[in-house]
Amino acid sequence: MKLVQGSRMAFLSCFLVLALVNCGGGGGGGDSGGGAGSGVIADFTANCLNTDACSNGAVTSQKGTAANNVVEVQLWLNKLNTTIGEAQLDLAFDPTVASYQGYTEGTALGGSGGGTKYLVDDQQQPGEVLVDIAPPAGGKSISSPAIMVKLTFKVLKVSGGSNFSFRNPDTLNGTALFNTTGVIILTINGWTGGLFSGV
Amino acid sequence: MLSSIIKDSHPGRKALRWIFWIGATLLLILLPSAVSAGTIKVAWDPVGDADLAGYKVYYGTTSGLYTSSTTVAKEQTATDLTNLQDCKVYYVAVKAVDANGNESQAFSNEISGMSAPMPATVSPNSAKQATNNQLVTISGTNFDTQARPDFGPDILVNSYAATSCSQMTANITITAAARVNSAPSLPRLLTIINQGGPQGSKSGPFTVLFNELRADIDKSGRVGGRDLLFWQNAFGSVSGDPNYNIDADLNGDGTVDGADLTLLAVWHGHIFF
Repeated sequence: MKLVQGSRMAFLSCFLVLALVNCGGGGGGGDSGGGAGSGVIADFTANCLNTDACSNGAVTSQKGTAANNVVEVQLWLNKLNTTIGEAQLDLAFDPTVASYQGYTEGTALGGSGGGTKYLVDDQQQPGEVLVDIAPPAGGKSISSPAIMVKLTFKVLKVSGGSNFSFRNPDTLNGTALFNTTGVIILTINGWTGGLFSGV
Repeated sequence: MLSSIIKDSHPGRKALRWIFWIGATLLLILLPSAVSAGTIKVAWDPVGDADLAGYKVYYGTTSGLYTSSTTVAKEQTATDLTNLQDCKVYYVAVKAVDANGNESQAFSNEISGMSAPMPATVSPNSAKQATNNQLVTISGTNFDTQARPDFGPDILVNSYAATSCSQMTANITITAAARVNSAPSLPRLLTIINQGGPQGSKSGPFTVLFNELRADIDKSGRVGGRDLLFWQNAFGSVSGDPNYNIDADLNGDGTVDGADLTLLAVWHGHIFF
């Protein structure tokens, strides 16, 4: 699905992309059912917790709320006091283990009500979600860690684990943080994912 | 073209010297939207004489042999000749008429031309932005041998030739930032201009389509990341503004707005090479 959000674009975007998730409302959990009776309990283990030193200046993946076979992954911006012009998160996972359900805007780069634009697309190839977040011109800087976006996944089967990672970190066609002129401003070690599992 | 007409229908009275000027170039004063097919608009300089009662405009399909006429009030210096046959060259001349109904002895100079040209269809009827040397065939009526197509400033006409009064060909280049005409954008006006200026237009016979390569604003090979950044940086700007970015104006309408973001969203994540 493709989703655009923004106060000026809400109607047009909803119309155009035939959003399957609730356009203008921040994405959402989509089909979060299936827990009762599926027998799978979803879990997510972060590779680098925000309490660890590895999170300094990094973008990390943290476990959010979880219920039955659905788990939320929070993408945290820990690069502080740096003006961010745009964030492109190219996320990869095993599509036989996890299924993307939807998203919720974070606060780190602002919400669509304030002019921040979100483009979220999971139709490029199985096991990939592309998230683009652009605050209004001039960018945005934060002084304490905050969530950029929350993604919701359904874990499809009992599994020992499936990596959740950032594709092509620090490349123009992959995962990157940009300043307001389009220069990539995060090193390749600054992206940490996690592990889906189902029990 | 300037001619003098000597009127001397009342011997003993002073001869009235009427000076007419019928300019073929004045046909250009016609607004395309005001012209319908089968129409020639003629205009002339007014005659400054107290006895003037009006004008009589003569026309026909043979030079010097006028089979039709129309009378025009003295306050008018232009008129439309209507219900003319397509693809026929008409010859037109004017006489002045005084209060007694006497016409000037001589005609004004004669002008000739076909009715205003009118485009109908273009084949192919669409092409993407950034298309070079696209050959198109334009059908319509009243194209003279020098008929020239005009698709707007963002489509370059490299060459053209009228093959008949109802068909012409053209080689065109659609610029990269040409205005997109597919819905909900506005249709494009095609104008055909005959030698000397008569012209006719039609809205919509040719459509410029969005070129998806333009969604990759930064030419990185994939739509996303900096493309959204560049759009955001230019968001709300119009052509001429300091932050206007023609590359972010994906639909070429002179404004970087939500419509451009929509195009970006449609192609978001797409890899071109």
